[in-house]
Amino acid sequence: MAVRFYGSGAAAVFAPLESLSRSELVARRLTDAIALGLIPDSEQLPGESDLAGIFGVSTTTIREALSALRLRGLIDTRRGRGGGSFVRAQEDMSSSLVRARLEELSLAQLRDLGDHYGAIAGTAARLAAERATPDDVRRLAAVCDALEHAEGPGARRRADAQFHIEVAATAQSTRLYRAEVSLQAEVGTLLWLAFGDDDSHRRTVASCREVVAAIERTDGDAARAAAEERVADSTARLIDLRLALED
Amino acid sequence: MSTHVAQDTAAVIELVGALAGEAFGLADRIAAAAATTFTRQQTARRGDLKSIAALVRPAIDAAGSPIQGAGFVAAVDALADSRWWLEWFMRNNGKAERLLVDTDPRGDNFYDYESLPWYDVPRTTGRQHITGPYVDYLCTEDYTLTFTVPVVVGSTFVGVAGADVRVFTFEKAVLPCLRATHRTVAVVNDQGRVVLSNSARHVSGTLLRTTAPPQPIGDLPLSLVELT
Repeated sequence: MAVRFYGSGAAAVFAPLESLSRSELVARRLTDAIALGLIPDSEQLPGESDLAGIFGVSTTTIREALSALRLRGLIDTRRGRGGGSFVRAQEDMSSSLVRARLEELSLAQLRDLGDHYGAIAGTAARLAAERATPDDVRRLAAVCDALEHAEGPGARRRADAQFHIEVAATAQSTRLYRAEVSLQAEVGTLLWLAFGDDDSHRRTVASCREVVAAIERTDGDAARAAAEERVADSTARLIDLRLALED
Repeated sequence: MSTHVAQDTAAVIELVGALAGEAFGLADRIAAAAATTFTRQQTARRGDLKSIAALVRPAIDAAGSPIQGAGFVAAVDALADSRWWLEWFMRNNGKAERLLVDTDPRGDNFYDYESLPWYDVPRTTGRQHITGPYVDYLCTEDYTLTFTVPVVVGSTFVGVAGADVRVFTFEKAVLPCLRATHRTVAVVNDQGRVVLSNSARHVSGTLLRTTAPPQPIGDLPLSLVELT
């Protein structure tokens, strides 16, 4: 078997899962990936055993997840030669998905998710400021540029994930990198499905630039503050959206 | 630095040189194999790079090998049937496995390696390079040192050949020797980043802001620095 590589954007989507009801979690990750356009329409999914390897679950779990996706009309499965599971993207999946996802979460859970994310993003930014070489700063600035020019929620989410992953890599921490990848899967997807619009995108780019500027000045406190502020702001907006669902 | 210190640290320099030599030696053999392919064929294809697997697999599979991954990364448009290509193998459960990457630039999982230092530095300088320690999120997902050399045919750059060594492996091999110097010293890369030290305040990955004169390690982009 070969080691399948999906790149850092999709690494979040295919990050190994740890919690219970695995098949539902696998179905969720795949649904998110389809909604964000990370797995394009009509693309063939990897085979069951490859997916099992990617997610770190059994093929039975994968089969259950795929059958859930099939029921929701998100994949077509064809048998025989040239067969497999093929993506069927649907119009306007994002808003209904965000609604459904947010309804499952309490305000306190959303707040807690934001706290966790802030801790990781803030510390990664602070350590990056201590450990970045001028080359690292140039690379981070280039990722900001790519984020600024990205069009559409899928591309923006991917560039944003790339930015966070680069910051954690600049912090020289494998653990913070992995924590970022799994948080991107959990919260990054939700944020970009909810706030993929141009105005939110501009705000995100500005806050990323602020983090990079602080890293360049080797100002760890400012880098941490900027990263934490950004997470706090996004979390507050998600909570606002969640509150509106009660009306 | 006094001769006395130089004697203490000679063993470290020799050991680091030997480890880097093993990685660069493999990279050089891969580079030669790739160059042969490109010399023989005007339009080389992915399938023409089979000699690389034959070199890399045994180097990774060998018991006690410090090599975590190795291979050839093609320059953009060097191959006729793929604009981007990594003929790369890495250790997984003790055996070499091919790394599969999304080499379609329109794909959402595509990663442009042209700007990454392990590719870009050998291309622009024409010299061997050690990247890291760094978090290698493209391949090993681990804290890694990557040793790369440019592959040039005639006057055309056709890619880089390289080998990965985990920082963990490097530390296991070199730390006892570093401890034996009975001095506080660090192996530092050309960016001033600590690869390994025997000081708790200057561990791998931190940047060294020091004025102590560095002792070069052979012709490698690494040096040994005495910490105060």
